[in-house]
This record gives sequence, structure tokens and C-alpha cells, in this order.
Amino acid sequence: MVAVNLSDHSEATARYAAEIALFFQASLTIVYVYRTVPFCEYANETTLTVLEDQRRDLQRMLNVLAQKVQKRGVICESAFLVGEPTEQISILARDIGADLLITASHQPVFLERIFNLDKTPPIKHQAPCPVLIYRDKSAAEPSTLHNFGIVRGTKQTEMM
Amino acid sequence: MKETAHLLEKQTETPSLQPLFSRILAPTDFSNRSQAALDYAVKLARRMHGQLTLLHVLPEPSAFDYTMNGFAHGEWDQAKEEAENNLADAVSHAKRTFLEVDAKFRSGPDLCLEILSTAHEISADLLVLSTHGYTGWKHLLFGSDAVKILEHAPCPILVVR
Repeated sequence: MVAVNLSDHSEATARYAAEIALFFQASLTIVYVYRTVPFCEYANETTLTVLEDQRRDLQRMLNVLAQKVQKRGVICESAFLVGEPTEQISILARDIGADLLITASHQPVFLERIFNLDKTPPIKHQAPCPVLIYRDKSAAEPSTLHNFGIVRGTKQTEMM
Repeated sequence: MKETAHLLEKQTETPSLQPLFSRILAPTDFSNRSQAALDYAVKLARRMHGQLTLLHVLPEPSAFDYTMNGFAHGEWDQAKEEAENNLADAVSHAKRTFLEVDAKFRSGPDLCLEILSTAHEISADLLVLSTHGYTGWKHLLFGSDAVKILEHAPCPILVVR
């Protein structure tokens, strides 16, 4: 099972998950959780229409992503859920008996971390199965690592 | 986890695909949770025909450990010896299942820094960690290490419960 947020990085995450599924000859479920918008944010009918359009667009994007994975020879289905992402992902993982949950982590900036907007840490605690957090090697910025004294004059390896 | 372990075991035929993880790093603190992650890492390494490196980081005494009599050197040497023995035991245990296992012993004041620098040093393509299981305020206090590793890791991370 792979959980995506349909951002620019989602395709790379789904591709990575597809490679793993192919290796283990497993099937894949791509899941996206649409966050429910509080009722107070429905200012008028236009807002409702915009939100509905957005929801339809996201659903279409998820289907396109699933089709791309299917083209790689993986048995793949998509699940568009509504609610709180961490909770919904954990429930679905339990329901389908997922062996592995794959998700990606973008590097949250300070404010995102404070307000708990990066959902990866909560998912890894609530998931009923092991969680693989995808980070491509290029995501670890050399400058940051130099600042931490981690990279000692070694050349960064290419993206997997 | 049981199901995945089963999946790892039941796969006997190797597909013609390139293994995704050829160099796996598994840090351990010798706890039960760590052992579960190690067992999983061993099975995964065997399945992927990769190289597994076990890592133990012994925290160096900090200024908070300083007493009027200075640092207790005997205690530090004892702790180091004990940790090295535990690591050797962990390697022997892992080698019962899979032979391509080695170990690294590090000591330093910053656990995350040591894990991340080892991951860079061996060009790890997977880091296998266990969850500490802390929730609430304990997560706020002690959960920051995992988040730091998550943010700066040079490779994907597998979190095993």
C-alpha cells in the first residue's frame, strides 16, 4: 500500500512502490486521503463548487497515477478516502491486511513541524505494518549535511 | 509484521529485477523492539541478496555526567566492553539466518549524527529502524531522534514496529 499526497513527488513515490511490488510480486493500493473541510469554511455556494471541483480533480489525478503504475505491470488499485489522513490510512492498511505501507517524507520546514503538518511521523506510529519512508538520495541536500558534519568530502551519489 | 515476514520467507524465486536494497544499515540498542527490526532486516537482506550492517552507538558521557571526581573511566570502559559483546552476539544471531552481516561500533554524543554519518559512509540504500513506542509527552521528549533521522537520512527508511 502506498500513501500519496498527490504532490509533485507522488509519482516518484508511486514508481518506487511499484518497483518494490514488482520485486515481491505483490499487488499495490495507492491511497489518497482528502481532508474534510470544516463547515465554517463554506462561505457560499461558489466555495462549495470550488471545493467539489478540487475534489474531482484530485480523484482524477489519483486514477491517472494508478493507471501509470498498472502500465509498469503491477496489479494496482486506487483508494480515494475522506477524513483525517493518519487515521484513514491506518484503517485501510488494517482492512486490506497490508504487508507494507510506503509513504514519502518531504523535509518539513520549522512551522510545518510545529503545527504537525508533515503526516509521516504519526503514520509510522499508527500503521499496523512496517512503514517504508521513501527518500531519494538527492533529497538529502549536501549543504544541510555539511552543516551537520555528516558529509566528509564525499561525492553525493546519484538518485536511485 | 508477521504477514510481511511470511511474505519475505515464502518468496523463493528471485525475479529478474534488480534488488532495491543492496546495502542495509540497521542500528540497534539491543532492546526487544530493536531485535524485531533486526530480524526483519536480516530477512530482507537475505531476500535482496544484500549486505547488512548492524550499528550500535554508545552515547558518550556528556557534561551532565560529570561529577566532582571527574568522569568514571572504569564505568565507561565497562559499558563499552558490554556493548561490543552485545553487538558481537547480535551479529552471531543474525548470521544464523544470513551470512552477509557485519557490524560497526560507534560512540559519540549525538546518536542521530552517528547513524547518519554511518549511512553515508557505507552508502546505505536502506535504514531499518524500530519505533520507540512513545506517545504523548514522551514522544515530544524522546521522539525527536527519529524525526531528525527522518529529515536528514540519505536513503529510504523502514520503520518496523
